[in-house]
Parts: sequence; C-alpha cells; structure tokens
Amino acid sequence: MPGAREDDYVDHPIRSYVRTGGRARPTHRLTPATLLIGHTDPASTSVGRQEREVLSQCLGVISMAEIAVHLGQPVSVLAVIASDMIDAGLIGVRPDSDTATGPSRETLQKVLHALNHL
Amino acid sequence: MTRPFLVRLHRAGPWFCSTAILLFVALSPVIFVTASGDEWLWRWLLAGVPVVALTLWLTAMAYDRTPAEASARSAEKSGTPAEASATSADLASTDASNDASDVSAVVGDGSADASDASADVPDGSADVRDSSADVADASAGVDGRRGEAGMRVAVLSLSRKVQASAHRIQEESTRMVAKFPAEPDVLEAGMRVDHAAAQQARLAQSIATLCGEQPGQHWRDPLAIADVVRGAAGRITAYRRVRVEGDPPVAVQGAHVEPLIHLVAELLANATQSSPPATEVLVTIRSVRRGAALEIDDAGVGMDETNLAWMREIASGTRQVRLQDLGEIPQTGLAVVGTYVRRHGFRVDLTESVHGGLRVAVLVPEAMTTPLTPAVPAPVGPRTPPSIPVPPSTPVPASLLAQAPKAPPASTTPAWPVHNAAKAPDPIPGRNEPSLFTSDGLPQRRSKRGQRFATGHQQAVSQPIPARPEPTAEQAGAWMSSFLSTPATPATGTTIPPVNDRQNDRQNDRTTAETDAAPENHWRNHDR
Repeated sequence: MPGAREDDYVDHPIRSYVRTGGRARPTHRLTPATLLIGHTDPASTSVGRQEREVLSQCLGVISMAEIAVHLGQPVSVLAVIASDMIDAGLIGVRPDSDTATGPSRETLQKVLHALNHL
Repeated sequence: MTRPFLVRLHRAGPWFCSTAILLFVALSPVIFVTASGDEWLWRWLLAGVPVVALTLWLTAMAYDRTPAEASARSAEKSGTPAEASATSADLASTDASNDASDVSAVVGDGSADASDASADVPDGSADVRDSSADVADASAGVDGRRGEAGMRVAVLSLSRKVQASAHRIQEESTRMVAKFPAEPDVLEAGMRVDHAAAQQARLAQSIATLCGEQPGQHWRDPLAIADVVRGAAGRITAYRRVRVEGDPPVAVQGAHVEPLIHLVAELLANATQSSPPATEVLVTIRSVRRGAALEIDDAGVGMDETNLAWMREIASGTRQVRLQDLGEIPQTGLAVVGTYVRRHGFRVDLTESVHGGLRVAVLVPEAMTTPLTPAVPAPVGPRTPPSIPVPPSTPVPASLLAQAPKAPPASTTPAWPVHNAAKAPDPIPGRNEPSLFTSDGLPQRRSKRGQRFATGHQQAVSQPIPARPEPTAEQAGAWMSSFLSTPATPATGTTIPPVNDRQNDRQNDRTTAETDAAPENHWRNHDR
C-alpha cells in the first residue's frame, strides 16, 4: 500500500502468490488511481471467492488504491487479479479515469501561462 | 564435596581390591602358620572372608554411586541451557513484536537473532552428545527421560526461533512489495522470497508440532474452508498444481484455522511429491452433515497394502510418531497430520483412489466450523449495479482534478457521468442499495465501506428519503458553471450545492476511512 505506515503490516493466511497463481505481471496497465466498475453480480456463484471479494468492492466506481486497502493487499497484487477479471469481463476500467486523457498540453500550457501572469 | 573421593575410589577400586587379596594370600601363611600349629585354617578363614567381603563391598559401592551421580549431573547440565534458550526465545519474540515498527531494526535484530540461534546450535548439540553419552553409561530409564525432555525443550525453542525469523522474512517481503505498487519485478521477487519463507516456517512448525507443542501461528477470525485450502497450498513448493473445487459456505473457527492449514499443507505436500509434476492435485470441498469434508486426490502410483496400512495408522493418529522416531530420513508429513488429529479431533483417512493414486479424506467436525456469512449481501430482486449514478469523487486527488472539468455539460445526460444510464430509470433500484441522497438532498457517496460497517447509520440517513428524480440537464449546466466560476474556496452556503456535495463527499471519505480503521485490522491477530 503506498504510504503505508511501518506498523500496519497485517498478515494473511493466503499469500499473494497463491492469489495470482505466481504471476506478477498484469495484462493491463492499472495504476492505483485507475477506476474500476463491476460488471457482474458479486453474489454470482460462477465466480471464485477471490473474484467475489473484488466485485463486492466494485459496486460503484472505485479506485484500485481503495480496493487494495479494503482487501488488505498490495496494489501490484490486485493489479494482476483485476487484470484477469477485466479479461474475463467481470469488471471494467472506467474509460475516462486515465490521466492520459486529461486536458491537452496546450490547455495546460495556457493555464500555466495565465498562472505565471497572475 | 564427596564427588572427588568417590571418583578416586572408583578409579582405584580394582587396584585396591586385587592388592588387598594378594596381600592377604601372601601374608596369611606367614602370620597364621608360624604363629599357631593346628588351628591355623579356621583362623585364616575367619580373618580372610571378612577382609575380602569388605573389599568387594567397597569396590561395588564405588561403582554404583559414581555413574549415578554423573548422570544426575548431566541431566542438570542439559536442563539449564534448555531453560536458558527458552527464555532467550521468549525475549527474542518480544523483541520482534516491539521492533516491528522499525524495518532496519527488525532486519538487524533478525540477523542478530539468527546468529544467536546458530551460536546456540553447537552448544546445544555438544550438550546433547554429552548427555546422551552419560545416559548410555547409566542405562537408567528415569534419567533417560529427563535428558529427552531437555532435548525436546531445546529443539522446540530452536524451531520457534526459526519460524519467527521465517515470518519476519515474509513480513519484510510484503512491505517491500507494498512499497512499489507499480513494479511487477519487485512483486515477483517478493513472491519468491515469501514462498520460500513460508515453506521454512512450515518445516519449523512441523518440528514444534512433533515436540508436542501448539503451532506458532494463530488466527483469531474464522476462515472459509476454501481459503484454508488456499492458505495451505501457499506453504508447499508446488502450489500451482493444487486445484480447489467446491466452496461451501462453511468457515473454520479461528482456533482451528492454523492446525487445519498446516494439516492440509502436509497432505498437499505429500500429494504433490508423490505424483508426477505435470499432474494436478485435486482438492474437493464439500459441506457434509457432520461438518466439512475435504478430499485430496493425487495422480501418483499409490502404495502397497502394507505401507498403506502403516501410513493410515500414522495419519489417523492411531500410531504416534515422535521426533526421536523419525530416523535418518525424516518424514514429518503424516506424523504431523497424526499429531493434529489426536490433539484437535480432525478425522483423516487414506484410501487408494480408483485411478491409482491416493485419496486422503479429511473431516472437519461440525463443532469446529461456523456457517459463513456471505461477505456480499445477496441483493433482493434484479441487481443493477451499473445504474448507480456516480458522483465524480474519489479519494485520489489526481483523478478528482482530472475529472472535474470533464463533467458533461451535455443536454441529455445527468449532472455527473452515469454508467449505462439507459438501463437505470430508478436511481434506487433495490432495498440493499443505499440511498444516493442524504436528507439534505445532497448526493451521497455509495461506498462499500459504508454498507458493510455502517449500515445502521446509512439506513437511518436514507430511510425517510423516497426516490428522487435525477438531476436535469439544466441542473447539470448550473453545476458546471458554478463549479467553473467559483473561486477555490467556495462559500459554505447552500447556493452552490454540488460543490458542497463534493466537500461533503470528501468528508464522508474521511469518516468512513476512520471508521474503517478498526475492521481493517481483520488479520492483525497474528501472534508470533
């Protein structure tokens, strides 16, 4: 967890490599700020316990960082799990959540220019 | 004080004895034959027999007392370091919990502790050799048992130290991974370290268990039985080969979680080791009338009848295998299983599977289970999660800034981005969905945290509020214009409600985060 204090280590009987099946590389680029939306009912019996845990957090739009804190897992572990779920169509990434689609460079430069002349 | 004399007597005994007899034989004819005539034989016998008897008695006494005292000494010797190491283990564990906040301190502590442990090892083994030599000398049952107990305590405390250091490695790797949320390489390295340390911890815990002690780890909260199996899979080398089927709504009570995880881990380790590497080990979990049943099937070659009967006796707890029974090639797995079976009352049986491998059946009695409350309340009626209008607020400031200017000023859309709005005529679709608006008419953040931990509060807030129409396009436009025209610190009045909403939202975030602090300590019960 980014910004985690040193004393908030919480142990869990299920280790992270079991959760991800030993994989460390997510298939999607998910940052802590990425917003996820659930596409599936968390009560659905067709998904596993781990997926249900994530889905139960995705009732609305929620950021990766928040889910990670709720589930007590590092963001990088969650990224692997969430990537699989995105591939399976269980959840989706909110399209406009990526900062890459923010204001254009010209706009930002104009703002900066205006700020400098305040 | 008497010890040197007795030792000297012990050493001199044979010499003393033979010298006395020789002297008597050599001198008696001279004394008796020359002194008196006929009755010399009787006098010779009357004087000689007591002298020989006294000599033999003294010698025998010296032999008797010296080894007994020596073995007693050895028992004292072996007892003292065992106690000392147990105390130091206690100290080390307290140290560990105290210093957990400081990474470098913990690391330093850990290495110091490790060297401490390794320094203890030769001491301990020398002592063990010493005492075992003495024990063999004495061949006295009581003293043997005392030495055994001392050795058991020493082995136990050493295994506890090893386990504690393994858990500290796991902790450090988890911290490292958490520090680099966007680095898959770090995650991969962390996982490898974590996995290796988990196996080390399992082995150390096996030794402690065979010494007759409780596991070093404790979990307070119940754990779903499927998660118990996953936790167990994480402690074996070939965890990828374990496939879990079935997920009944049954949890294992906290006190029995760690024993069951360890038991299943040993069974999974056996199953993966005794089957081809390309095959899966299938774990089937069912809820049965008498509790929860696990079946572990491997695709190995099984074993012959004699071996199977033997193994079954060990695994079912009928035949006790102690640490000293393990032998040169120690097979701890089933011995650990049997220990847990005897101590906790699980039931384990081994049978030959129809396809050749082994099938291990484990029954977790009902008294150790608890019905699992679903983490996600099943919604009543059709659930339409995407229909919830989502206020543009997240706790991540970057995304807040990024989205704020992009709230749609369009005519047909609501005031904030709505995912799949066409399907959502009613913003409050179900009973389980919390109200989206407070009594003040402010949009309310729909948070899982609120649902789970503060349902009472949310209901109290949301009950009197009926369904509210969605904001119109005009409202949306007003919100946008007010947002864009408002200075950085808007007035606290209600003239610009949406901006206020946002503040309210963020405040909500804070409060929910605070109320969350306690429940998020869900797993902070790990006692080392």
